[in-house]
Amino acid sequence: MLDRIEFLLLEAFTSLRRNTWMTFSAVTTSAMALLLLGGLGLGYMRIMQFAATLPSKLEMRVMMQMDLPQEEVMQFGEKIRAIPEVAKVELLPRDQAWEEMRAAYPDVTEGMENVLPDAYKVTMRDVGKADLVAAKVEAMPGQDGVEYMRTEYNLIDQAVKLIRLIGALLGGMMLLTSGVLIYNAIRLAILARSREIKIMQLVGASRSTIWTPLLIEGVVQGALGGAIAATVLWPAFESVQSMAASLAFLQEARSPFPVTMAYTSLIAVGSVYGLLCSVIAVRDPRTAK
Amino acid sequence: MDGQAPYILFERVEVKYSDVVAGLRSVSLRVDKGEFIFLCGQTGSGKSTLLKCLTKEVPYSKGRVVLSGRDLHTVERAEIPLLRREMGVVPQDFGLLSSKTVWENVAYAMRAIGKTRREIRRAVPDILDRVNILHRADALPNQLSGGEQQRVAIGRALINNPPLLLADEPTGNLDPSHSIEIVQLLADLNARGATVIVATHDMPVVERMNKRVVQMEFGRIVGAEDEFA
Repeated sequence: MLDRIEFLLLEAFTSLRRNTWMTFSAVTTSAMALLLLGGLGLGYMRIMQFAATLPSKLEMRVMMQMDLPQEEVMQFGEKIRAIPEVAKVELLPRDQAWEEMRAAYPDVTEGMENVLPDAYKVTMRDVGKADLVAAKVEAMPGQDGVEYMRTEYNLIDQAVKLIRLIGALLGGMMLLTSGVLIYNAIRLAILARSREIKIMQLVGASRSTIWTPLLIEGVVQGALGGAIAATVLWPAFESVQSMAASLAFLQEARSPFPVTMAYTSLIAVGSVYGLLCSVIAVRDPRTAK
Repeated sequence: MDGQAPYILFERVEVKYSDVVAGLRSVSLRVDKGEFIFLCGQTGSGKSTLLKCLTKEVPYSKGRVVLSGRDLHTVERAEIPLLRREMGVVPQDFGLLSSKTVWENVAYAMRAIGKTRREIRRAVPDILDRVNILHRADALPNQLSGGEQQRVAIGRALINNPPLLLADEPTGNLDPSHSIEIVQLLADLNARGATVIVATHDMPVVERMNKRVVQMEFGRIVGAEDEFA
């Protein structure tokens, strides 16, 4: 058994060495594709984590008109709850808000009447729907304004959309290119090894003995690409985080690079992709069986 | 042709490479165990196709091919490697790996069929001795004469100790003296019990060996088979 494994590995690595430049281009291109996908995936994940760790920034305040009767205020709350994009609605009674303000700023509020209106705290299901919810609420009679972090919402929403778009387009293109290169590398390996393959077929070597080294070759190329991608992604991630730290609202989001997850997932994805491409190359009808 | 079952039987076998190109046309042939046969004919006469039907490198569209009692139509794709271990194939171009020595060329083929290092160490000297090339075990193919290279190729065909040897133009790249030497080696292996089928158009060698001859033309067997007997 060990003899057989040694033979298969030896065959695979001999072939990798023989097609050095083709192997190099396949590995570097898959590394770039995985770096792009990994980087964008990580960025997307971090943005979503950032959004999730800032619930207060996912909230919206709806100010009611000062003279609105209590019954209508309550009905207004029900209307907000009926909006599908709204996750939670909480009434902030004007008296309670005023007490809190007086406690916080006694000097400023001393001798003053309650100047605050009733308000609702609205939490949304999706950060991207903030504008839509605001528009719906603003269209309802009885409110006196909607306050939320419109800029931040839009920024996060645009970043997520952009990352999704770039990921789909560039990542897809790069992945396709690296797939074609891995496929070509395996096809070249089949050509370069045609004599060995012919000999093996003539003497009755099993199909697995003949083709496994080529599959190993594809897996190695993909895995190397994944490892390189993770290695490059690490410092790139740290640099981006350092730059992001200068933005006030992103300071809370700083976190360490997920080393194990990045290496494991990128190497695994690369290996599976390399295997897939080499299987396609080996199953090509032009390959002598 | 006694009453015993044939070792190899072709019954009205047809091979088509395309709608207009036929490899074999209704070929029928019987080969008994231990026979030595020359398949003769011009290039394109169907000699190699006939051998490839036996190795299942070429599918036949009609007829029946039986080897050692088994209809080759019943051999599944996954079983082809096992079928090929029952025969030794000697290609015309020797098929040697230029970067490996004589010893390594034979050992490589043995490793490919799953033999252990210990088995290889034990078997290779014996195989090389059987084809009289043991003294050149450390030589690379480009340091050998054509005849010596063909001996290595024959040696490699013996790794499974097969009862059947198929040689496709084994003298095609050799001068007359080496041709006789190689065919004599195949005859020696035949004398030790192997059934041997040699595809060739080297008529001087065929005439000199005085063995059964099957003449082929345009994918058919023609004339008297034992013309030179």
